Amino acid sequence: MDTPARATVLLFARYAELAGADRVEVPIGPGTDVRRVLQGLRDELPGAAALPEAPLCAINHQQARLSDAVRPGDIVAFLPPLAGG
Amino acid sequence: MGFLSEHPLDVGALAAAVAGPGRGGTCTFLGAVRDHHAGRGVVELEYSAYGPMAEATIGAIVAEAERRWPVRVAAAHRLGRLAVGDAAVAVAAAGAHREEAFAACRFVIEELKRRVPIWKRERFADGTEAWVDPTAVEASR
Repeated sequence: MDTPARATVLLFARYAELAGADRVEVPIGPGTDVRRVLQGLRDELPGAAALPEAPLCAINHQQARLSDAVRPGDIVAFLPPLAGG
Repeated sequence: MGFLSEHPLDVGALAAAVAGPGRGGTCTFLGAVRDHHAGRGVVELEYSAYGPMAEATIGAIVAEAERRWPVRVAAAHRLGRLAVGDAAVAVAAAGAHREEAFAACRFVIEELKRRVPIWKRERFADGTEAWVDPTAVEASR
């Protein structure tokens, strides 16, 4: 029996503070998209409930959409409003 | 030279990195920590980044600039705790003439601020702290 497929979620800055974690492993099933990963975070981490409905997100270091598919081994990131410079 | 740095920025080194015998115009931009934000006194900023995405994104922005204008571009951004007056971001663009150097430098700093995943936390003179959210404070600058 294979181990369950998983993806890694990265949280940054204010979102990491809200969730109380900056890196979380989440199970991935067929048809999982970024939105479902975010919902899973809300269910697992009480602080993550404060994340916005539609945050900036990335898959494997590239900007993504909430409707994009997440595959086993992917790195999904949720990004607070950018504030460089 | 990496884009993200824990050490003080050297704009002279950036300008040297883009220099060349045919490039007579170099434009540099230096962004420093200012002592106020939205009417409040600021004493310190702490920068953090999503490293791999930040490096990939600035690479794409520099490549876009170098396709759009006949220039060479270099950029650097500091991470960690910075005091008022410390340089946080630097861009250098060099071309044959000033026109393309100014245009490319402006393009890169604007796109950097818009697209590169970097965050900053402000420490105010009254001892409180807050994450900077440009989408929330734009109206009160």
